[in-house]
Amino acid sequence: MIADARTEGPAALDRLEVSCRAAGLEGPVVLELRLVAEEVVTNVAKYGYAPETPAAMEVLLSMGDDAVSLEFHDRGRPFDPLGQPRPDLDAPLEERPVGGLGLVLVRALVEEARYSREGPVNVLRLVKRRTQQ
Amino acid sequence: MALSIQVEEGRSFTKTMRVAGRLDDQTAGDLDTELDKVLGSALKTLVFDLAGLEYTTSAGLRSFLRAQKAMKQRGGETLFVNVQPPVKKVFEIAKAANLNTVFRSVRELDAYLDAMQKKAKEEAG
Repeated sequence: MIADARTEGPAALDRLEVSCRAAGLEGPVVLELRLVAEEVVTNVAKYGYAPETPAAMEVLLSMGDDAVSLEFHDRGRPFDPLGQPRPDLDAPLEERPVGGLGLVLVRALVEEARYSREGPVNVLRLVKRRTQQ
Repeated sequence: MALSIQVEEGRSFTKTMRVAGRLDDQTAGDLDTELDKVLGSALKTLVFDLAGLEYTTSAGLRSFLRAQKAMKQRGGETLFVNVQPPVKKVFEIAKAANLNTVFRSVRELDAYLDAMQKKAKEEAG
C-alpha cells in the first residue's frame, strides 16, 4: 500500500525492484518491470487525484512460472491508460509532442494489459514474460 | 536514484554531456537544468554520451526530445553515442532519436564530426 504516490512512489518502486531481483528475474526484465511500474505510479501521482488529496494506490506483484503480473489499484479519477490516443511518434521533430511517451512504453514492454474501473477503483493489470524472447 | 552529468567541451561549438546513472521523474529536472546552461552557449553540435546511463523513463526521453528540438531550432544537431541496450530499446520504442544521429562508438562519432568539419571548411573556403 502506498499512502501517497507523490512522496512514497520512488521507495515503493525500489522495493518492487528488489523483490523482482530476489525472485531471480534477469536484470533487463527487472528494469523493464520497474519502468512500466514507474510510468503508472508517476501518472497516478501527477494526475490521478486532486492536488490536496494524497495519491493513495496499491501495487501488487505476483510471480508465475512463465510470467510476472503487476496490478495497480487507485481510487483517483477514472482513467483508462490503455484508451488514450497514441502520440504521433513519426511527426517531424518540430511538431512532435514531448509528452505521452510513458504509456507508449508501458504498452510496448508488456505482453498483456487490461484496465477496468471496478466501483471507485481503477484497476490496471499488466503481464510480462519472465524472460526476454 | 542518482544521476550524474558532466559537460565537456571538445571541438569548437561542440559540447558533450555525459549522462550516467538513472533518469526518472526525480532526476530529469537536473538534466533539464544542465541542458539550459549548455543551450545558453553558442553551440552547433550537442553530443550525449550515454555510456553510463542504465535506465530512463519517459521523463528522460522528454528531456532528450527537448534538447533535440532546441538544437534543431538553432540549426544545430544532437548526436548520441554509447547508448546501452536497455536505454536503446526504450529510445527505439518511443522513436526518441533519429537513428542517423545514434553512433555506436566514440570513434564512429569522431569520424562523422571530422567529415562534417571538413565539409564546413570546404563550403567556407
